[in-house]
Amino acid sequence: MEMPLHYLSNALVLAGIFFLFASALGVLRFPDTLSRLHALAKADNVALGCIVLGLMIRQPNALLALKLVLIWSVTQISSAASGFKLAQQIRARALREQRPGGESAP
Amino acid sequence: MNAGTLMDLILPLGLVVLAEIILRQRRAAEAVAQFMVFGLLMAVAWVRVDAPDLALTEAAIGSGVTGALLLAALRRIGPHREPTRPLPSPARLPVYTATLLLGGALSWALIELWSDPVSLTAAVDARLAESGSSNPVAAVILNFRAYDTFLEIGVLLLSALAVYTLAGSRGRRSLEEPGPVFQFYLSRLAPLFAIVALYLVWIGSRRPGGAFPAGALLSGVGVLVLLGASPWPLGLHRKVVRYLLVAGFGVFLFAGLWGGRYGAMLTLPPEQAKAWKLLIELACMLSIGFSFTVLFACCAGWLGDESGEGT
Repeated sequence: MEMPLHYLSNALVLAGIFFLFASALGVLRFPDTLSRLHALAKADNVALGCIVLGLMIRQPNALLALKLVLIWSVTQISSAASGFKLAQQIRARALREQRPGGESAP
Repeated sequence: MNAGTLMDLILPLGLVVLAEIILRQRRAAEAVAQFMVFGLLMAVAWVRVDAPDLALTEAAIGSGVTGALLLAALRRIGPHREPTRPLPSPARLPVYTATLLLGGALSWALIELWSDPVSLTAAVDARLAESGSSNPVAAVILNFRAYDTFLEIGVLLLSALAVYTLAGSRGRRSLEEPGPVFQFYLSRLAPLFAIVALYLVWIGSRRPGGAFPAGALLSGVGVLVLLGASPWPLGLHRKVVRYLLVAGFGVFLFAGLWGGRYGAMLTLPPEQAKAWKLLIELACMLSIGFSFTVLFACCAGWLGDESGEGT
Protein backbone atom coordinates (compact mmCIF):
# COMPACT_ATOMS: atom_id res chain seq x y z
CA MET A 1 0.00 0.00 0.00
CA GLU A 2 1.24 3.48 -0.79
CA MET A 3 2.11 5.66 2.15
CA PRO A 4 -0.39 8.52 1.64
CA LEU A 5 -3.30 6.07 1.56
CA HIS A 6 -2.07 4.54 4.78
CA TYR A 7 -2.09 7.95 6.45
CA LEU A 8 -5.56 8.68 5.08
CA SER A 9 -6.82 5.39 6.53
CA ASN A 10 -5.32 6.14 9.92
CA ALA A 11 -6.75 9.65 9.92
CA LEU A 12 -10.23 8.37 9.08
CA VAL A 13 -10.14 5.74 11.83
CA LEU A 14 -8.93 8.34 14.32
CA ALA A 15 -11.73 10.68 13.24
CA GLY A 16 -14.15 7.80 13.79
CA ILE A 17 -12.79 7.25 17.29
CA PHE A 18 -13.17 10.98 17.98
CA PHE A 19 -16.83 10.94 16.93
CA LEU A 20 -17.41 7.76 18.94
CA PHE A 21 -15.98 9.48 21.99
CA ALA A 22 -18.03 12.62 21.36
CA SER A 23 -21.24 10.62 21.03
CA ALA A 24 -20.49 8.65 24.19
CA LEU A 25 -19.99 11.96 25.97
CA GLY A 26 -23.29 13.16 24.53
CA VAL A 27 -25.15 10.07 25.71
CA LEU A 28 -23.73 10.59 29.19
CA ARG A 29 -24.15 14.35 29.45
CA PHE A 30 -27.16 15.40 27.39
CA PRO A 31 -30.16 16.35 29.51
CA ASP A 32 -33.07 14.47 27.94
CA THR A 33 -33.62 11.19 26.15
CA LEU A 34 -34.27 12.64 22.72
CA SER A 35 -30.99 14.56 22.67
CA ARG A 36 -29.23 11.42 23.85
CA LEU A 37 -30.78 9.50 20.99
CA HIS A 38 -29.35 12.11 18.65
CA ALA A 39 -25.89 11.58 20.13
CA LEU A 40 -26.31 7.81 19.89
CA ALA A 41 -27.25 7.96 16.22
CA LYS A 42 -24.07 9.96 15.57
CA ALA A 43 -22.02 7.01 16.73
CA ASP A 44 -23.67 4.62 14.28
CA ASN A 45 -23.69 7.12 11.49
CA VAL A 46 -20.57 9.27 11.40
CA ALA A 47 -18.22 7.38 13.70
CA LEU A 48 -18.81 3.95 12.21
CA GLY A 49 -18.85 5.54 8.75
CA CYS A 50 -15.40 7.05 9.25
CA ILE A 51 -13.99 3.82 10.68
CA VAL A 52 -15.46 1.74 7.85
CA LEU A 53 -14.07 4.15 5.25
CA GLY A 54 -10.68 4.00 6.91
CA LEU A 55 -10.71 0.21 7.03
CA MET A 56 -11.97 -0.06 3.45
CA ILE A 57 -8.80 1.57 2.21
CA ARG A 58 -6.80 -1.17 3.90
CA GLN A 59 -8.73 -4.12 2.44
CA PRO A 60 -6.80 -6.24 -0.03
CA ASN A 61 -9.82 -6.91 -2.24
CA ALA A 62 -13.05 -5.22 -3.18
CA LEU A 63 -15.32 -7.95 -1.76
CA LEU A 64 -14.08 -7.36 1.79
CA ALA A 65 -14.52 -3.62 1.33
CA LEU A 66 -18.07 -4.19 0.12
CA LYS A 67 -18.81 -6.32 3.18
CA LEU A 68 -17.71 -3.41 5.36
CA VAL A 69 -20.09 -1.10 3.48
CA LEU A 70 -22.84 -3.66 4.03
CA ILE A 71 -22.13 -3.68 7.78
CA TRP A 72 -22.28 0.09 7.86
CA SER A 73 -25.50 0.36 5.88
CA VAL A 74 -27.32 -2.31 7.91
CA THR A 75 -26.19 -0.62 11.14
CA GLN A 76 -27.31 2.69 9.71
CA ILE A 77 -30.80 1.44 8.87
CA SER A 78 -31.08 -0.39 12.20
CA SER A 79 -30.01 2.69 14.10
CA ALA A 80 -32.58 4.82 12.30
CA ALA A 81 -35.32 2.27 12.97
CA SER A 82 -34.46 1.73 16.63
CA GLY A 83 -34.09 5.47 17.19
CA PHE A 84 -37.49 5.98 15.62
CA LYS A 85 -39.05 3.26 17.77
CA LEU A 86 -37.52 4.67 20.96
CA ALA A 87 -38.62 8.20 20.11
CA GLN A 88 -42.11 6.88 19.42
CA GLN A 89 -42.27 5.30 22.87
CA ILE A 90 -40.92 8.44 24.53
CA ARG A 91 -43.54 10.55 22.78
CA ALA A 92 -46.33 8.12 23.66
CA ARG A 93 -45.27 8.20 27.31
CA ALA A 94 -45.05 11.99 27.34
CA LEU A 95 -48.55 12.24 25.87
CA ARG A 96 -49.88 9.74 28.39
CA GLU A 97 -48.39 11.67 31.29
CA GLN A 98 -49.75 14.91 29.95
CA ARG A 99 -53.32 13.82 29.49
CA PRO A 100 -54.80 12.83 32.87
CA GLY A 101 -53.40 15.48 35.20
CA GLY A 102 -53.04 18.25 32.68
CA GLU A 103 -49.46 18.90 33.81
CA SER A 104 -46.98 19.35 31.07
CA ALA A 105 -44.43 16.61 30.61
CA PRO A 106 -40.77 17.64 30.63
CA MET B 1 3.77 -3.08 24.67
CA ASN B 2 1.65 -3.48 21.56
CA ALA B 3 -2.03 -2.72 21.15
CA GLY B 4 -3.04 -6.38 21.46
CA THR B 5 -1.43 -6.83 24.86
CA LEU B 6 -2.92 -3.56 26.05
CA MET B 7 -6.34 -4.77 25.02
CA ASP B 8 -5.76 -8.13 26.71
CA LEU B 9 -5.05 -6.24 29.89
CA ILE B 10 -7.93 -3.77 29.65
CA LEU B 11 -10.63 -6.23 28.59
CA PRO B 12 -10.55 -8.65 31.55
CA LEU B 13 -10.10 -5.75 33.94
CA GLY B 14 -13.08 -3.99 32.37
CA LEU B 15 -15.15 -7.18 32.61
CA VAL B 16 -14.40 -7.61 36.31
CA VAL B 17 -15.07 -3.94 37.09
CA LEU B 18 -18.30 -3.98 35.06
CA ALA B 19 -19.44 -7.16 36.83
CA GLU B 20 -18.84 -5.46 40.16
CA ILE B 21 -20.81 -2.39 39.01
CA ILE B 22 -23.72 -4.56 37.85
CA LEU B 23 -23.78 -6.45 41.16
CA ARG B 24 -23.84 -3.18 43.09
CA GLN B 25 -26.49 -1.67 40.84
CA ARG B 26 -29.73 -1.20 42.78
CA ARG B 27 -31.98 -0.20 39.92
CA ALA B 28 -32.94 -3.17 37.81
CA ALA B 29 -33.32 -1.37 34.47
CA GLU B 30 -29.81 0.02 34.67
CA ALA B 31 -28.42 -3.34 35.72
CA VAL B 32 -30.01 -4.90 32.62
CA ALA B 33 -28.50 -2.24 30.33
CA GLN B 34 -25.09 -2.78 31.91
CA PHE B 35 -25.48 -6.53 31.62
CA MET B 36 -25.98 -6.12 27.88
CA VAL B 37 -22.79 -4.09 27.69
CA PHE B 38 -21.10 -6.85 29.66
CA GLY B 39 -22.23 -9.36 27.04
CA LEU B 40 -20.76 -7.26 24.24
CA LEU B 41 -17.42 -6.89 26.06
CA MET B 42 -17.46 -10.63 26.69
CA ALA B 43 -17.96 -11.23 22.96
CA VAL B 44 -14.92 -9.06 22.21
CA ALA B 45 -12.98 -11.05 24.79
CA TRP B 46 -13.90 -14.29 23.02
CA VAL B 47 -12.65 -12.79 19.75
CA ARG B 48 -9.35 -11.97 21.48
CA VAL B 49 -8.85 -15.62 22.48
CA ASP B 50 -9.61 -16.77 18.91
CA ALA B 51 -13.05 -18.24 19.62
CA PRO B 52 -15.26 -16.57 17.02
CA ASP B 53 -17.98 -19.22 17.43
CA LEU B 54 -18.37 -18.36 21.08
CA ALA B 55 -18.13 -14.64 20.30
CA LEU B 56 -21.01 -14.89 17.83
CA THR B 57 -23.17 -16.81 20.27
CA GLU B 58 -22.28 -14.53 23.16
CA ALA B 59 -23.08 -11.40 21.18
CA ALA B 60 -26.36 -12.80 19.89
CA ILE B 61 -27.65 -14.63 22.97
CA GLY B 62 -25.70 -13.19 25.90
CA SER B 63 -26.14 -9.61 24.91
CA GLY B 64 -29.07 -9.41 22.51
CA VAL B 65 -31.67 -12.02 23.35
CA THR B 66 -31.02 -12.16 27.09
CA GLY B 67 -31.21 -8.38 27.25
CA ALA B 68 -34.54 -8.37 25.46
CA LEU B 69 -35.83 -11.13 27.77
CA LEU B 70 -34.71 -9.30 30.90
CA LEU B 71 -36.25 -6.03 29.72
CA ALA B 72 -39.50 -7.78 28.89
CA ALA B 73 -39.54 -9.44 32.31
CA LEU B 74 -38.80 -6.09 33.92
CA ARG B 75 -41.69 -4.53 32.06
CA ARG B 76 -43.93 -7.26 33.38
CA ILE B 77 -42.99 -6.89 37.04
CA GLY B 78 -43.01 -3.11 36.71
CA PRO B 79 -40.20 -0.60 37.02
CA HIS B 80 -41.34 1.04 40.25
CA ARG B 81 -40.24 -1.58 42.69
CA GLU B 82 -38.43 -1.03 45.93
CA PRO B 83 -34.73 -1.26 45.25
CA THR B 84 -33.32 -4.31 47.00
CA ARG B 85 -31.72 -3.53 50.32
CA PRO B 86 -28.20 -4.73 50.94
CA LEU B 87 -27.72 -7.43 53.56
CA PRO B 88 -26.85 -6.23 57.06
CA SER B 89 -23.12 -6.48 57.61
CA PRO B 90 -23.05 -9.46 60.04
CA ALA B 91 -24.96 -11.50 57.48
CA ARG B 92 -22.47 -10.60 54.80
CA LEU B 93 -19.51 -12.31 56.46
CA PRO B 94 -20.49 -15.92 55.68
CA VAL B 95 -21.42 -14.90 52.12
CA TYR B 96 -18.03 -13.30 51.63
CA THR B 97 -16.24 -16.28 53.14
CA ALA B 98 -18.12 -18.78 50.99
CA THR B 99 -17.52 -16.73 47.84
CA LEU B 100 -13.83 -16.36 48.59
CA LEU B 101 -13.47 -20.09 49.26
CA LEU B 102 -15.29 -21.03 46.07
CA GLY B 103 -13.35 -18.49 44.02
CA GLY B 104 -10.09 -19.69 45.54
CA ALA B 105 -10.90 -23.34 44.83
CA LEU B 106 -11.83 -22.58 41.24
CA SER B 107 -8.70 -20.50 40.67
CA TRP B 108 -6.58 -23.25 42.19
CA ALA B 109 -8.20 -25.84 39.93
CA LEU B 110 -7.50 -23.64 36.92
CA ILE B 111 -3.86 -23.17 37.86
CA GLU B 112 -3.52 -26.93 38.43
CA LEU B 113 -4.95 -27.57 34.97
CA TRP B 114 -2.56 -25.06 33.53
CA SER B 115 0.49 -26.95 34.70
CA ASP B 116 -0.71 -30.19 33.13
CA PRO B 117 -2.98 -29.33 30.22
CA VAL B 118 -5.06 -32.09 28.66
CA SER B 119 -5.56 -31.29 25.03
CA LEU B 120 -8.17 -33.03 22.95
CA THR B 121 -7.33 -31.03 19.83
CA ALA B 122 -5.31 -33.85 18.29
CA ALA B 123 -8.08 -36.38 18.95
CA VAL B 124 -10.65 -34.11 17.30
CA ASP B 125 -8.44 -33.39 14.31
CA ALA B 126 -7.74 -37.08 13.78
CA ARG B 127 -11.39 -37.94 13.26
CA LEU B 128 -12.62 -34.66 11.84
CA ALA B 129 -13.31 -36.27 8.47
CA GLU B 130 -15.88 -38.64 10.00
CA SER B 131 -17.85 -35.86 11.69
CA GLY B 132 -19.42 -34.38 8.58
CA SER B 133 -18.01 -30.91 9.13
CA SER B 134 -14.61 -29.39 8.63
CA ASN B 135 -14.99 -26.86 11.43
CA PRO B 136 -13.68 -28.58 14.59
CA VAL B 137 -16.01 -26.56 16.82
CA ALA B 138 -19.07 -27.68 14.90
CA ALA B 139 -17.73 -31.24 14.88
CA VAL B 140 -17.46 -31.27 18.66
CA ILE B 141 -20.82 -29.60 19.26
CA LEU B 142 -22.86 -31.68 16.86
CA ASN B 143 -21.08 -34.96 16.70
CA PHE B 144 -18.38 -35.80 19.24
CA ARG B 145 -20.21 -34.16 22.13
CA ALA B 146 -23.69 -34.18 20.64
CA TYR B 147 -24.95 -35.41 23.99
CA ASP B 148 -24.27 -32.01 25.61
CA THR B 149 -25.92 -30.07 22.81
CA PHE B 150 -28.89 -32.42 22.88
CA LEU B 151 -29.41 -31.75 26.58
CA GLU B 152 -28.94 -28.00 26.06
CA ILE B 153 -31.71 -28.01 23.47
CA GLY B 154 -33.76 -30.04 25.92
CA VAL B 155 -33.23 -27.47 28.70
CA LEU B 156 -34.24 -24.66 26.35
CA LEU B 157 -37.35 -26.58 25.29
CA LEU B 158 -38.28 -27.25 28.92
CA SER B 159 -37.91 -23.62 29.92
CA ALA B 160 -39.89 -22.41 26.91
CA LEU B 161 -42.65 -24.93 27.65
CA ALA B 162 -42.72 -24.05 31.35
CA VAL B 163 -42.98 -20.33 30.69
CA TYR B 164 -45.47 -20.89 27.88
CA THR B 165 -47.66 -22.91 30.22
CA LEU B 166 -47.38 -20.73 33.31
CA ALA B 167 -47.38 -17.23 31.87
CA GLY B 168 -50.81 -15.76 31.88
CA SER B 169 -51.55 -13.04 29.41
CA ARG B 170 -51.07 -9.83 31.33
CA GLY B 171 -50.86 -6.35 30.06
CA ARG B 172 -52.14 -5.50 26.65
CA ARG B 173 -49.93 -5.51 23.65
CA SER B 174 -49.58 -2.01 22.42
CA LEU B 175 -51.04 -2.27 18.96
CA GLU B 176 -50.17 1.26 18.00
CA GLU B 177 -49.11 1.87 14.44
CA PRO B 178 -45.47 0.89 14.04
CA GLY B 179 -44.96 3.91 11.83
CA PRO B 180 -43.44 4.13 8.35
CA VAL B 181 -39.78 3.93 9.41
CA PHE B 182 -40.18 0.80 11.49
CA GLN B 183 -42.52 -0.74 8.93
CA PHE B 184 -39.90 -0.23 6.24
CA TYR B 185 -37.25 -1.69 8.51
CA LEU B 186 -39.32 -4.78 9.24
CA SER B 187 -40.34 -5.47 5.68
CA ARG B 188 -36.83 -5.07 4.24
CA LEU B 189 -34.48 -6.11 7.03
CA ALA B 190 -36.34 -8.97 8.74
CA PRO B 191 -36.12 -11.18 5.60
CA LEU B 192 -32.45 -10.26 5.28
CA PHE B 193 -31.79 -11.36 8.87
CA ALA B 194 -33.65 -14.60 8.26
CA ILE B 195 -31.40 -15.26 5.25
CA VAL B 196 -28.33 -14.48 7.36
CA ALA B 197 -29.56 -17.02 9.94
CA LEU B 198 -29.82 -19.70 7.24
CA TYR B 199 -26.38 -18.73 6.00
CA LEU B 200 -24.96 -19.12 9.51
CA VAL B 201 -26.31 -22.67 9.68
CA TRP B 202 -25.00 -23.49 6.23
CA ILE B 203 -21.54 -22.06 6.83
CA GLY B 204 -21.41 -23.60 10.32
CA SER B 205 -19.85 -26.82 9.07
CA ARG B 206 -16.82 -25.02 7.68
CA ARG B 207 -16.49 -21.75 9.54
CA PRO B 208 -17.85 -20.07 12.68
CA GLY B 209 -21.60 -20.14 12.75
CA GLY B 210 -24.10 -22.83 13.51
CA ALA B 211 -27.47 -23.31 15.10
CA PHE B 212 -27.04 -21.21 18.23
CA PRO B 213 -26.10 -17.85 16.69
CA ALA B 214 -28.53 -18.53 13.85
CA GLY B 215 -31.34 -19.31 16.28
CA ALA B 216 -30.55 -16.22 18.30
CA LEU B 217 -30.66 -14.12 15.14
CA LEU B 218 -33.97 -15.70 14.20
CA SER B 219 -35.40 -14.91 17.62
CA GLY B 220 -34.21 -11.35 17.11
CA VAL B 221 -36.32 -11.28 13.98
CA GLY B 222 -39.20 -12.71 16.00
CA VAL B 223 -38.88 -10.02 18.66
CA LEU B 224 -38.68 -7.31 15.99
CA VAL B 225 -41.81 -8.57 14.31
CA LEU B 226 -43.56 -8.62 17.69
CA LEU B 227 -42.47 -5.04 18.37
CA GLY B 228 -43.85 -4.07 14.99
CA ALA B 229 -47.28 -4.91 16.40
CA SER B 230 -47.71 -7.50 13.69
CA PRO B 231 -49.69 -10.55 14.77
CA TRP B 232 -47.61 -12.84 12.63
CA PRO B 233 -45.38 -15.02 14.84
CA LEU B 234 -48.06 -15.39 17.50
CA GLY B 235 -50.83 -15.51 14.97
CA LEU B 236 -49.43 -18.77 13.69
CA HIS B 237 -51.56 -21.63 14.73
CA ARG B 238 -50.60 -22.56 18.27
CA LYS B 239 -50.03 -26.14 17.19
CA VAL B 240 -47.52 -24.98 14.59
CA VAL B 241 -45.65 -22.98 17.22
CA ARG B 242 -45.53 -26.04 19.46
CA TYR B 243 -44.20 -28.27 16.69
CA LEU B 244 -41.52 -25.68 15.93
CA LEU B 245 -40.57 -25.54 19.62
CA VAL B 246 -40.14 -29.31 19.74
CA ALA B 247 -38.50 -29.64 16.29
CA GLY B 248 -34.87 -29.34 17.41
CA PHE B 249 -35.18 -31.77 20.31
CA GLY B 250 -37.26 -34.16 18.24
CA VAL B 251 -34.95 -34.28 15.24
CA PHE B 252 -31.95 -34.63 17.54
CA LEU B 253 -33.60 -37.49 19.37
CA PHE B 254 -34.56 -39.21 16.14
CA ALA B 255 -31.02 -38.81 14.77
CA GLY B 256 -29.66 -40.26 17.99
CA LEU B 257 -31.93 -43.30 17.77
CA TRP B 258 -31.14 -43.66 14.07
CA GLY B 259 -27.45 -43.75 14.89
CA GLY B 260 -28.22 -46.57 17.30
CA ARG B 261 -28.98 -48.81 14.33
CA TYR B 262 -25.45 -48.35 13.03
CA GLY B 263 -23.28 -47.98 16.07
CA ALA B 264 -24.16 -46.47 19.38
CA MET B 265 -26.97 -44.17 20.42
CA LEU B 266 -26.38 -40.49 19.66
CA THR B 267 -23.61 -41.21 17.20
CA LEU B 268 -23.92 -40.49 13.53
CA PRO B 269 -22.79 -42.91 10.81
CA PRO B 270 -19.87 -41.09 9.12
CA GLU B 271 -21.21 -41.33 5.58
CA GLN B 272 -24.54 -39.75 6.56
CA ALA B 273 -23.10 -37.35 9.11
CA LYS B 274 -23.15 -34.25 6.93
CA ALA B 275 -26.81 -34.52 5.98
CA TRP B 276 -27.88 -35.32 9.54
CA LYS B 277 -25.80 -32.49 10.88
CA LEU B 278 -27.46 -29.98 8.56
CA LEU B 279 -30.92 -31.31 9.36
CA ILE B 280 -30.28 -31.18 13.11
CA GLU B 281 -28.87 -27.67 12.88
CA LEU B 282 -31.81 -26.39 10.84
CA ALA B 283 -34.31 -27.90 13.27
CA CYS B 284 -32.36 -26.58 16.25
CA MET B 285 -32.17 -23.11 14.69
CA LEU B 286 -35.96 -23.04 14.30
CA SER B 287 -36.49 -24.32 17.84
CA ILE B 288 -34.00 -21.91 19.40
CA GLY B 289 -35.45 -19.00 17.47
CA PHE B 290 -39.02 -19.81 18.38
CA SER B 291 -38.17 -20.68 21.99
CA PHE B 292 -36.65 -17.27 22.60
CA THR B 293 -39.45 -15.51 20.73
CA VAL B 294 -42.07 -17.35 22.79
CA LEU B 295 -40.11 -16.63 25.99
CA PHE B 296 -40.00 -12.96 25.08
CA ALA B 297 -43.69 -12.83 24.25
CA CYS B 298 -44.54 -14.61 27.51
CA CYS B 299 -42.27 -12.35 29.57
CA ALA B 300 -43.88 -9.30 28.03
CA GLY B 301 -47.27 -10.83 28.79
CA TRP B 302 -48.31 -11.10 25.19
CA LEU B 303 -48.68 -14.83 25.04
CA GLY B 304 -49.66 -17.67 27.28
CA ASP B 305 -53.34 -17.13 27.81
CA GLU B 306 -55.07 -19.88 25.88
CA SER B 307 -58.18 -17.81 25.33
CA GLY B 308 -56.03 -15.26 23.58
CA GLU B 309 -57.79 -12.32 25.19
CA GLY B 310 -54.63 -10.35 25.75
CA THR B 311 -53.71 -9.81 22.16
